[in-house]
Amino acid sequence: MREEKIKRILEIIPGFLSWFIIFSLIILFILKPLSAIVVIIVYLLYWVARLLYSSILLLMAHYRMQSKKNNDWLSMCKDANSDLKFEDIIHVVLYTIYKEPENLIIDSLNFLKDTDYPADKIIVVLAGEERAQGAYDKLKAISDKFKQHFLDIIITIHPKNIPGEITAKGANATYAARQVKVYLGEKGYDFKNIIISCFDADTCPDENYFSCLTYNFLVNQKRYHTSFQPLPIYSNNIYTAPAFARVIETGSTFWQFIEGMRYEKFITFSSHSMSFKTLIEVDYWPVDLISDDSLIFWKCFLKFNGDYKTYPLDIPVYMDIAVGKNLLDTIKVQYKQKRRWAWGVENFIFLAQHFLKKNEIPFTVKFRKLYQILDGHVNWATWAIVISFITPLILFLGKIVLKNSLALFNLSYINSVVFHSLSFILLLCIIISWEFMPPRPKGVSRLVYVSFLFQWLLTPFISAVLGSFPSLDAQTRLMLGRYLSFTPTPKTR
Amino acid sequence: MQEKYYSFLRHFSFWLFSLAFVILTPVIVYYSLGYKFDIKSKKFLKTGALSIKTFPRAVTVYLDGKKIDELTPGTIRELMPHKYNLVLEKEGFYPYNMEIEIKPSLVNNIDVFLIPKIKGVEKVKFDFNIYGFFLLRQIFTEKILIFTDKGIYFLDTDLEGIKKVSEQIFEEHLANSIEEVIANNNKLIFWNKKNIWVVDISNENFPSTDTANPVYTAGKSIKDAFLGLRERYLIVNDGLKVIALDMDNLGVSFEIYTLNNLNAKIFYDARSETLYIKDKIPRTENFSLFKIEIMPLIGGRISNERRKD
Repeated sequence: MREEKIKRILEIIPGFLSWFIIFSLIILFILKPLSAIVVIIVYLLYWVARLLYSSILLLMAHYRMQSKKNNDWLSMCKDANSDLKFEDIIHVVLYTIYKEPENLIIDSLNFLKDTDYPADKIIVVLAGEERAQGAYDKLKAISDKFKQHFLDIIITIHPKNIPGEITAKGANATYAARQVKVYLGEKGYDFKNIIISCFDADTCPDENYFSCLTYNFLVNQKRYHTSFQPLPIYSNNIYTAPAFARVIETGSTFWQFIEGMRYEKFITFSSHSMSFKTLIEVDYWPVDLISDDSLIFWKCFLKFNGDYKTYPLDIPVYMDIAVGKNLLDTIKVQYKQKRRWAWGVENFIFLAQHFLKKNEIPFTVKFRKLYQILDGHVNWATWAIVISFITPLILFLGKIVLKNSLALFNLSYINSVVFHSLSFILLLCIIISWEFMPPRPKGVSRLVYVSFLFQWLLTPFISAVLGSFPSLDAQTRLMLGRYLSFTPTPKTR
Repeated sequence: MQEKYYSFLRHFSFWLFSLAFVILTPVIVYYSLGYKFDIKSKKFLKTGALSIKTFPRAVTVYLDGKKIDELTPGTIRELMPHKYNLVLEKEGFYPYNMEIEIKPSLVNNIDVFLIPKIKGVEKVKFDFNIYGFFLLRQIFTEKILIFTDKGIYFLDTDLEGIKKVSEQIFEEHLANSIEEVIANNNKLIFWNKKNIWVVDISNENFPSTDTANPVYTAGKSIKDAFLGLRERYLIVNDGLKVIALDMDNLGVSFEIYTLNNLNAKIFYDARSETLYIKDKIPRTENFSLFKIEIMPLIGGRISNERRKD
């Protein structure tokens, strides 16, 4: 009972903070307009500093990725100075599949087959759902097509309505991983040598991904206390996706790119890899929560009393941009996907609840981690609203209330500095994003590059509408106890 | 580069930006509120600002005789609160001189339109004696109508393209008394307080008359005139009555309303064919507003006639 109350209080905190920031600025402006202007000036200056710092991180991340670009990872694996042998390392690549079309999965497996890593060291797991009719037959047909290319292909079908589970990707992945454990045990593999990669059905790894992953696994002294995070690049359907969807997903890539520079804050996101031994030790991915990709990191963090990190591999995995049947549907799909990502705020509740019982982790570490999650999510839900809506509103109404106030006059100037900072980071993104561009398919006009350039003009609109609102929506639902159900992102090509 | 260097660089950047934020924020906030630290008195002083916009741009600003480095548009900050003499100068324009007051924590917004210095005056290329002129605006064109000792002419607005439209000569005192001119269906309609004239400008072979005969002479004084009834009639308030003059058949007119007072005014809305009249209410000292919708009257009569048939 007490635990339930604590959980409810924790669920209220993020949404309450976000709404408090939004309303307090408006109420402060009504009561003391000049004070509100001063607060907004401080807030905008904070964002100028933050954006410029992010630009530095972006440049550093880009430089680091470039410096690793020409590494011969496979040779490095063979020569790696490690207590493990390269030859003993086996990869389990787990694809969670729901209703994704067959051609999409085939494309992903073709990419996997064509990596530079020996395919006879890769076991593919096609984890289907009983909820999707004809799942086994579809996966069997795919398996038959690719069986000879890999060490083995395992098909698992996650039964529906297992007590204690929600309909989410994590439940399927966990069910499949348990089957894999039995399979590997029977075959006599040592779990210490197994690296598992949990991929979405549309994940196409870069040709160096597995050799880079293996090398970093081999040389990492704390390999069992480390997750390995590729750089998710949403580009599989970039030439056919609407411009605004391209901008959003490229923004997500850059966010991961920047986050990858902050080791102590970096956590797993979407497709990721880790030791199978560790996965078993932490009892797999959560089956009753939506944000399985980030929660697996926190499960490990708690299990090892804070001694757990995510290592950025700086090697991409290519994924699909979420699109719908038409433009409006794509906006809906994007909104729902971002809201699901923003539901990652449940990490705060999960972690805080466990921290209360965990005395082995120092209080300062607990506080820093909780602050890190809250800071990220509350800023996500508020910054675009404050910058795109509240500041212009205060500038507009301020002209009526304060008329010739110098502070108001300077606020409009500082506001323009924020937008110049945004433009600067945007320019960096435009330049760097060209490097992530897949080759132009035949039949697509060169003119598409013009739209790729002008698509960035949509950024202010997108950051306002599809930036903060889904996050605020997710936090408000959590605050009101209206829990989100898992909505898989439709993957069509 | 090794991870430790990345880590160093990242931490360095983080602390640099954090430090910059912590140090600069109070400075910028104070500055934004108008505070300035005076080294001499070692005190914070409250200042104001002056924001200047001009048309044209790039005007030199002098404040109390001191030239400001920045050209317009711009903002001059950290001004001590008191009155200043502001001079705006740009070559080819008259200098703009004004007194402004700067108040603490406030911005004085100045928006100035500079007048160019007159360099040259153009003159029409002919030497007729011009008695009067009117600018006639139509949908796509703009013409100048001139009354001269040689007749009536149209001119383009660049003073070129002179074209004679009538041989009729209006004496100087008549031309000067004309209050308004309307160009309609190849006719020039114009009037003064007493008379209304119509000049046909469609005829290339100008009529031989060299005297101007009015088509209507007011009983009292012409106060208002409007084109109405599908631009066929001129609706005139002549002080005593409202009459409709047929512009196609000159000489035909109808009295459509008798006014009760000399100070009555009319307005004719050609779009809705409605006549509005401000007139005195009989046997009172009060004026009121009256309305006559012409088209329903015409429509009503036509339908009555059809019913009779």
